[in-house]
Amino acid sequence: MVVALTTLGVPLDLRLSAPTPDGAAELEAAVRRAWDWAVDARASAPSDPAANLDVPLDHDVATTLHHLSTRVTQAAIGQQQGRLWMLHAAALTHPTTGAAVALVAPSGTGKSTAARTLGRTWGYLSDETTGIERSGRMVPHPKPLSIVQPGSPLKDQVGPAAAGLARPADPGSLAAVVMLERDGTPTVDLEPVRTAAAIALLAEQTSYLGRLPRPLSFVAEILERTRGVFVAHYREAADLEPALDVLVTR
Amino acid sequence: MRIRRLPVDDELMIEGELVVLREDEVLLLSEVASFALHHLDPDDWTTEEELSDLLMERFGLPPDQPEAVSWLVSALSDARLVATVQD
Repeated sequence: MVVALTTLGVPLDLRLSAPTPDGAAELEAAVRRAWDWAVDARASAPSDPAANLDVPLDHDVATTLHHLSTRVTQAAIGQQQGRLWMLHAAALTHPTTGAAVALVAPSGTGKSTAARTLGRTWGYLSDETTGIERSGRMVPHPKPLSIVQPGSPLKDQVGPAAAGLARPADPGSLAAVVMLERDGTPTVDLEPVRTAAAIALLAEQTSYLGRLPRPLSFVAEILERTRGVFVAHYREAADLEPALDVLVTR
Repeated sequence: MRIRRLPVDDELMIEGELVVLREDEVLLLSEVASFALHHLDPDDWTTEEELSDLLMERFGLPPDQPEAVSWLVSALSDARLVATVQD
């Protein structure tokens, strides 16, 4: 049983298996729900897979989906090394202009929450890994949202449609990079970061930077076309929306 | 002491600040360190006195002279951006 999807611009075939036909059918349905937009992307632009992933049922569907999310992301990142700037960031597009913003933060410090909160009106591109072409074009990685469940060691993998997220008509181009700093600041403060300092800071949140051609120039060229890199000091994810709106539409 | 630049994987000067990629690590150098590294030759040795003169000409006399240049070279050496030999 194969689920074909395209994510981060990479066509992948997931080869699902389970001990019973019912188990396999349940797993397939869950994978299709969790990766619905990526499945649609492959269906709308059929291509040969760049890689195959064997996905046996691992204990239960929730556990399998949890590990699958990481495996798909790693496989896609591996395929795109040397081609895309792959930033550890959530990414969203503005609801009217389509301008994209990347929200950078280390794991567990606000990316998914911001993507989930703002993604109801802003177009959802990713909650974890953002792919950016040298031209600034965004490459969606519409992975399921990883949502922490109280008392569970696993994060729930909720597909973008099931999470009620807005689907962008176009992935757009990068308009700004915002580094999230949830420090309780009551009114959102966007602090600009010098380009040289930004490149050094963003390098820590970049996969396979050294594989890009002239990596520092690659990143600098992308940033030059944006409104810049900012640190957002904020309290709640919802507070970010007006500030980001001004940032990418001014 | 003589000083020579070591190769890096990539570098980019932005408004007087040098960003350097070396072995998957990105370093942002101060304006003084950027100027020094930019003027060191990877294929030839520069004496500490020559480097000191260059920095004096560009930035003036540092308040903690004469140790300032030695500290700078030591920091660049610790970051494996320069090699040094004692005369």
